[in-house]
Amino acid sequence: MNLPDSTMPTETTGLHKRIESGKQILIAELSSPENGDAEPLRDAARKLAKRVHAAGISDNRGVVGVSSLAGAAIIASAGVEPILHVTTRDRNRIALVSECLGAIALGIRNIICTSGTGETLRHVPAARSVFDVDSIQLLDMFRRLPSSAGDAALCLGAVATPQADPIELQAMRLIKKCESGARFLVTHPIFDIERFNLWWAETARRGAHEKAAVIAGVKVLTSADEARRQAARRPSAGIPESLLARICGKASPAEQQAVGIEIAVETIRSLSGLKGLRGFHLSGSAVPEVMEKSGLKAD
Amino acid sequence: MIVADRKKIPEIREMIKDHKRVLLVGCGTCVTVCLAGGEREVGIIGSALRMSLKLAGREDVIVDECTIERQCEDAFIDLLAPRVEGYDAICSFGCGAGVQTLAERFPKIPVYPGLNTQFIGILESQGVWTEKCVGCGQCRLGEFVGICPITRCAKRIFNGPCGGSRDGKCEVDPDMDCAWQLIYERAKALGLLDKLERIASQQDWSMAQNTGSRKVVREDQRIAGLGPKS
Repeated sequence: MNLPDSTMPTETTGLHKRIESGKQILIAELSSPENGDAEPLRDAARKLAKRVHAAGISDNRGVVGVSSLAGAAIIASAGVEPILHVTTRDRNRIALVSECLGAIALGIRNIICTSGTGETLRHVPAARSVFDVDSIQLLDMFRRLPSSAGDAALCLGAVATPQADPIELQAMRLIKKCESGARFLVTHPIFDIERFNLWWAETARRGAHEKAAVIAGVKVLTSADEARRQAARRPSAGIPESLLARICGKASPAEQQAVGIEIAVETIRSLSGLKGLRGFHLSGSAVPEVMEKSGLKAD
Repeated sequence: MIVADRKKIPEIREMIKDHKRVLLVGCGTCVTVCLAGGEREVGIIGSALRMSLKLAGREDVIVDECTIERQCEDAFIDLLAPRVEGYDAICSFGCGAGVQTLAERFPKIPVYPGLNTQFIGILESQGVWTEKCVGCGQCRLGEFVGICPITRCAKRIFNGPCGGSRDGKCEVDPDMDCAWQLIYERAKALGLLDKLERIASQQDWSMAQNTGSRKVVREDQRIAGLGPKS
C-alpha cells in the first residue's frame, strides 16, 4: 500500500522515553464501556493518573464496546498517556491506516498491534472476519507511516502469548515483531509461572528482550465467577486448578476479591526479579489496589 | 474437488413450492465423488422429496431426476437440453457453478440449488471432507512448506502462529489442527525452519474474489478455437 507523506510530530511519546530509559514500565488496560458512557472509563483512568505510564482499552475483545480509539482519547482527557489497541480482525489495511492516522491526529502515538481473537466475537458469530493483514504486517505498515518522519513518532507495541504453542515458533514470531517495529511486547495475563518460565527461556534465548521491552501481563481476578469464566474461555488462559480453587474456595465476594488481589500481587513479586523483564501490564477492576499492595509505582 | 453437501428436504420443498413439474439434475463430477449430488444422491433425494410432497398434500407435483456428466460445461448441458422440456423448474445438484451454468443456459426456466457448495477440498477419511484451498488467485504454498495458511488458519495469518494455538489445535475449534503447528512440524522435519524466520509479505487480494467474478483466459486456446465462449 502506498502511504502518504505527511508532517507528523517527531517527539517520542512518554512511553517510548520510558522504554529508552531502561526503568520499570507500568501500563494498564481499562474496561471498554459497552453503553457509550465515557464517564466510568474517564473515572477509572483518573484513578491511574501518575500511577501508570500509559493505558488503553482493548479493541473489542470479547464484547462490542466503545472503540479503542475513542477510549484512548477519553483516557488522554483524564491525564493518562493513551495506548491505542488495534486488531486486524475487523478492518482491512485501508481502515487500519486510517485508524492510525486518526490516532496521530488526536495525539495518540502508542499503538499495540495485534490480530485479535480469531473467532469472530462470540456475541456476533455471523460477522465476517477480515484479517487482510496479520499483526506483523500491520506493525510494518504503521512503521512506514509516514515515510518522511521515519518511525520515531510512533511507539509501536505487540502482544506475546506465553501460553501459546509451539513455543519455538512463537519466539521466532516475536523476533519478527521486533524486526517489524515493535518497541514493546505485552504478554497475555500470566497465571501459570511455570509455563511463563518455559516461554521466557526460549524468548530470551532468541534475544527478544534485547530487541524490545517485554512487559508481563497481570490480570486481577476479582470474583470466583470471573475466575471460572477466564479459566473456561478459549483459547485457554492457562489458569492452574490450584489458583482457581483458591478463589472459588472463598464464599463471600469480598474474600474472593481479596484472594484475587493476593494472587496478582504474588505474580508481580515472583516476576519482579526476572532479569530482562521490563515491567507490568495490569488489567482488571482492582488495579489500584494491586499496585498499592505490590508497591508498584510509576515514579 | 469442489465439496458440497445436501440441502434439507423441507428447504428444497419450500423453494419449488410454486412449481408443478420439477426436474432434479445431478452432476457426475465433483459432487458425485463427495457423495452430495451424483446419480445415486439425486435418486434418493427425489424419492424423499416425492414422499414429503405427498405428506404435504401435494401429490400433483411431478418430480423427476436425471444426471449429466458435468454441469459446468456446455457440451454436457447440450445433452440435457431435450430432457428439460416440459418442466417448469430445475433443481440443480451441481455446485454453485453448475447451478449458474444451467440458469444461463435455460433462461426461461427457474433453476434452484439443491446443494450448499462448501469448498475446494479432499476426502480426509470415509465421510469426512476437508477444505484445502480458497482459490486466492496467488498461490504461496511454496513459502509455507505446502500448507496453506490462508485456507487452514482461521485468521489467515502469514506469520503465525497466533497466540491462540494450544497443543496443536486452533483457538476457533479445538478439533481443528492449528495450520501453523503443521507448518512448524513439516518445516522442522524438512530442515527448513529457518525459512519461517523470514517475514511473509502482505497478500495481494486483488487476485482473489475482490473485484467480482474472476476469469482465466488462455489466448492460445482461444486462437485455436477451443477456448470458452467469447
